[in-house]
Amino acid sequence: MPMLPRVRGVLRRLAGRDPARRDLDAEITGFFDMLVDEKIAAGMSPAEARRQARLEMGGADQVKESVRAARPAAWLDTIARDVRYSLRLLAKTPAFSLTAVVVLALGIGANSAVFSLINLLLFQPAPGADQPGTVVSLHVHDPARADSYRSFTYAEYETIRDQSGLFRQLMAHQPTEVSVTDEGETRRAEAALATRTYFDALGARLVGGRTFTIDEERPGSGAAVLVLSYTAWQRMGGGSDVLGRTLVVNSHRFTVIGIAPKGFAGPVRIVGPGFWMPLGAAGLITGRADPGLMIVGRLRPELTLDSANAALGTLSPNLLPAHPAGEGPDRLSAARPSGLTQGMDPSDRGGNGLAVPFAALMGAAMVVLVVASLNVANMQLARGASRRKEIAMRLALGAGRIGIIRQLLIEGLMLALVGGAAGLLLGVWTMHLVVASLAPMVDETLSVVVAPDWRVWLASLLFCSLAAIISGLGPAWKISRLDLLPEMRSQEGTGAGRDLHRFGTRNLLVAGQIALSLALLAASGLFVRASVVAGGAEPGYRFDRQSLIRIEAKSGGYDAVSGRDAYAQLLEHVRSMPGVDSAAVASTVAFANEASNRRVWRGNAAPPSESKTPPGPVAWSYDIGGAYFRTLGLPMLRGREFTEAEARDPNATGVAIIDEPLAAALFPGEDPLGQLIQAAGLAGKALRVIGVATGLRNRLTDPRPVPHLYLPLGPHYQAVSHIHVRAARGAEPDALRRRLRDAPRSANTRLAVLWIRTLDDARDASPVAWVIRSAGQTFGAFGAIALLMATVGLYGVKAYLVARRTREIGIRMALGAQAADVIRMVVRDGAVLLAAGVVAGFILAISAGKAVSSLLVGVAPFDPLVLALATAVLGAAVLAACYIPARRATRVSPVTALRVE
Amino acid sequence: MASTERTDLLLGTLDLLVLKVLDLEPLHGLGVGRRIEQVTRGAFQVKAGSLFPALYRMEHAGWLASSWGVSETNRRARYYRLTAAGRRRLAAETAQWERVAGAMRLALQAGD
Repeated sequence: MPMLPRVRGVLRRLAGRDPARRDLDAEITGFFDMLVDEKIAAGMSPAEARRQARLEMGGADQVKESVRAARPAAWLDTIARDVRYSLRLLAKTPAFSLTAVVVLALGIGANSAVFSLINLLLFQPAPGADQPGTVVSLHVHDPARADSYRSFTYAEYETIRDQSGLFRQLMAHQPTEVSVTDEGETRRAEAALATRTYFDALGARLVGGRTFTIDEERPGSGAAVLVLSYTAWQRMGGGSDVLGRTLVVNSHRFTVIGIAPKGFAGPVRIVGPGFWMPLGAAGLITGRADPGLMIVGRLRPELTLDSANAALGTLSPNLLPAHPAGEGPDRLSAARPSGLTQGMDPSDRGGNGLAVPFAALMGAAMVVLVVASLNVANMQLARGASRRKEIAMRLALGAGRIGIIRQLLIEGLMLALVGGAAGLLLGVWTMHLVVASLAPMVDETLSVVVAPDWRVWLASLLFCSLAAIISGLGPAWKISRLDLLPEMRSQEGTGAGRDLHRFGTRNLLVAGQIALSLALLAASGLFVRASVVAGGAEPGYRFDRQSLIRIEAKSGGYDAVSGRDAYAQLLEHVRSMPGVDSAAVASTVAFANEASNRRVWRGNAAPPSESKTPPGPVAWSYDIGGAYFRTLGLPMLRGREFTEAEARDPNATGVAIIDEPLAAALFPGEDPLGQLIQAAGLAGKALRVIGVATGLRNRLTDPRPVPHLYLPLGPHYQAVSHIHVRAARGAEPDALRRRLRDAPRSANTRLAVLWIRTLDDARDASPVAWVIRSAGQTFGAFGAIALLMATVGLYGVKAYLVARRTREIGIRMALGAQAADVIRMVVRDGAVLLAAGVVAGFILAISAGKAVSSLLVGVAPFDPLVLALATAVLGAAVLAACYIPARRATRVSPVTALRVE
Repeated sequence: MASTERTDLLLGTLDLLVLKVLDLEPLHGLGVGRRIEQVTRGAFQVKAGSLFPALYRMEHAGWLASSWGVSETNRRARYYRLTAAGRRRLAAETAQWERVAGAMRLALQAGD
């Protein structure tokens, strides 16, 4: 049977409109009539003939049913019938259905949102993956040496492109940072230098304009053209007139020639370049005509990664230039790009650090789903009690128990599907929030399309089924196990006796919810606490009165020599400004995202080669100017700071400041002052230690001070730097800020201010702070949802049980029990549940805390305060949920209570 | 009620019987039942609850085709006829049946 009619037939059958069914009706009717005719012809009276015919044929419905059962895919009809029946039943109890849908939507939505995020980062295929040929990244290294991966030259790229014969398309690129000046404002942006084939190789089709030409690509062409990212284009107004407009990049005027498609971020996901420029513009952007390149290619369709690697192994000597020193030749290899990072070393895949946070997030979302499902299970049980008669009737009429269970499960699935649809909307909306909260950090380089793809749909469907099974199977099993006779005879109330048992199924479900909620609350408490700690964190000096100016020299057309002077001029001016106590230049700031480190070792002798350095501790390397520690308010422990002369002199090598942790590692029990040290990447020059500084933390995630190496800024000029400013006591912050923003101009320099922030704001704007903050918010939300559901669930159970005990309570009160006694009785039952739930929850909470401990900064995984607080909040909610129904029960007058039933 | 000795249909024999009687001429449901009774001299009486599922199943398998017609007593009835596939099926099933029946006979006579 062709596919389309088959699908149409299935749909018709699901809708209960099956032409074959009406055919069958007519056929059976005809059969019966002919049977009657036959018997009349044999001499029976019409009435007798009909009676006999009915006897011979059996029931018309049974015949039809047996035909339907014999048809292929008969189960479809059964399912369709159950679906229709379930929908009818659910529509009859809108309050129950709505509550269940909302609860499930929260549970499924949490999971959909988390999965969308994981999908976005890990599972979504790289751009252009739908086109033939595997996309691979190329790597080159010397097999004889460790850590010898390097970048490619343009000449190597050309040779591989023209002679390897392995690639459909090959492209080379180099990510870089640029300063973009637009209407007097300068900002930093991610950018990439790229070959003509960049977009084609990645399967991206520009939404407007053109890509580069081969002439623009050639090194040294100086072609000042660029392609905008979609987001950058939107930021510029999103008009079609953007083509041909000029942007000032690193003080050069570039013409916009193209617009990249929406969501395209180059070979990585989410955060990619905001601007692409041809390789020929490398001289204008980086000052080097042929910057180190990374190569990405699309293999010929018949090649696999393995066969390509084998071919590259044999081709390497032909494709790469011979080594000068007669060492072995370098070797080419291909790898699948990770999509998260792009590096020279293929083993650096990024995302390794993501596994734990993602597992924690998914786990927390799953707990929310389980709590939601248990909640709905509880509601189903309550509803089941009032459905006993209906189900007993169906069993009596010959429905099998499996059939009843199947129908109840389908009912649960219907609820879960509607809840899942709402949950998916919730998830997508949450993703928009996440992206919006990311935007200030990355701005025009953020390229995300937040539409759920088939993976998200499938996962959501899976979450729905899971919810349906957890919430439906237990109740269905219990509800369908009925003693027929007493049930059909019974009045309301009998058979409920079992529910009064303290640890009946429903109470167990409530205890389970309490336990899970406590674990989740405790975990969220830890994260919230960690985010609070991170929010107020300081590296070791006070952030009070400290602000930071990020300065950029390239957009003003400065090179290393003139830039150094401009910085000095600006610094002098800032120091002389009213309201400024002290100011200093530094390349790197603690808690920011950018930091480099070097291995440091003792001694004078230069190592034999750059790759064979002696072992030693690794320290964060800061290039700083004079008065740095004074500005931060830190006294030197030993020795002195750099002088202004040392900090400014391009040849001022030979001095270094180390901090306490580095001193302890290098010179245990010795005086570090005056000792000679060396550090990787400094061409084998020995440095004399002139000072020892207080130990500081470098990253938000550092629990304690880590080794730092401070070098004078002079020999390590950087176009982008920071000026630390300590305001004078009593200085007016806003006025100072305005003056600082204007400082480069009033100091007669063309330096650009990228931003001015207090150190507190600078820390909060860092990605690590964002992650910690988001984790706190997410877990907080999950914990709150779980608490709410557990409380509402418990309230429902208590209200139901108390209502059932109205009569008993009435009698007790008639016999002289006080309202307080009754309340105590009901609340005591709740307290027992709470105690059981809390004990189990404590165990869960402690193991959850251990599992996420690597994500927690400055917070112990077992935090008594958090646990106590979570228990207190949960306990208060639980007792309130018991107290309210109990109180209501005492208001009932004994007479009314006794009249119930 | 007087009746001939009835034999339970062996599993799978109903298909063969239906194919066989339809090989002669197209019949409606009641006709198929009556013809089977007739050719087996009342040994097999096919109930509507077994007959119609079999007819539907075999039609779906492509061995039978059906169309509406008018019965001898002027009732609307669905007539079934054998398709080419049905004829091949009949041949195959007949051969199979004869193999089984022959083997059974041999086995039962072995003791004599």
